[in-house]
Amino acid sequence: MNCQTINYGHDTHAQYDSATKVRGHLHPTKDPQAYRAPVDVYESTDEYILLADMPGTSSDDIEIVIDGGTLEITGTVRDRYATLGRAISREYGVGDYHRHIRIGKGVNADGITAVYRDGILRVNLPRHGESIQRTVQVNEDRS
Amino acid sequence: MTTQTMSTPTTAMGRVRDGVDRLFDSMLPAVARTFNMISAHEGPAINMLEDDFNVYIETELPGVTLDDIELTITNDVLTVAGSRDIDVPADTSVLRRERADFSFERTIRLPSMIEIDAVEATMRHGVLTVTLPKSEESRTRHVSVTQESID
Repeated sequence: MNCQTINYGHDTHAQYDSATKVRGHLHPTKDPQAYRAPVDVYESTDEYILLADMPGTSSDDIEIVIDGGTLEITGTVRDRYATLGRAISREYGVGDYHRHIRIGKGVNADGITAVYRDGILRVNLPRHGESIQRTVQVNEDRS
Repeated sequence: MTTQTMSTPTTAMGRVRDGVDRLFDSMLPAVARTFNMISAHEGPAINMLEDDFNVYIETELPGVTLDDIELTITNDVLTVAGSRDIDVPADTSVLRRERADFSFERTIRLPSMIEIDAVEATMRHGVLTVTLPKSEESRTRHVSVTQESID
């Protein structure tokens, strides 16, 4: 696996040039750090299934963009502490999620669907077909 | 050692590379969020806030519903317990596994006495928020100076 050959190719994104600073200029008024959502990937005969833990965002605040064989997931987390008084103790940080995933020729980008439920994003990626540029609508499962 | 045994993993890697594999942003900080747990013994990380009337406890538990959570409050001690099991999609094989099952129980001391009957817990998008109204006693601690002058 040759990760060094990958070109992110997005002018709007900062370079991922260190282990600690991540695209700080995208959200200048927020904590500059994005969080790497943990991801599971499963494979069946007709699709790939990606599950990502992304608590505290919403279907409207998750953006999935497929471009150049890359699936990019961004989950914006709104400041939910504004109305909750003053902090007594903070054991974890709250911020946006971000994840890049390379998808190859084996995925049909047109057929990708996504659902957000209970803080987990599920992306279904049908196999086969050409990867093209696309934005995926995230639906909320309220059942 | 035969060439056949060498070619099998190579073929598998080629197959994987054509699908979904290279999650190549491992340089992003994997900051310890709640569901990573503080430790196996202590349970999930908790953020605690307060205003004049309530104490708020928040913890991130993706995939957990209120039915999976047990809250116990005794005096000023709160215990939150729960678990989740990863829902592995049927008839699939695992290409990557970063998420984890967990089971936890965590006890924390609250900054004031609580009206236990009025405690409310909500779960939204994998975030548990418990609103704990402060008891009358706890609130009067704020005005102890005026009580002193009465004596």
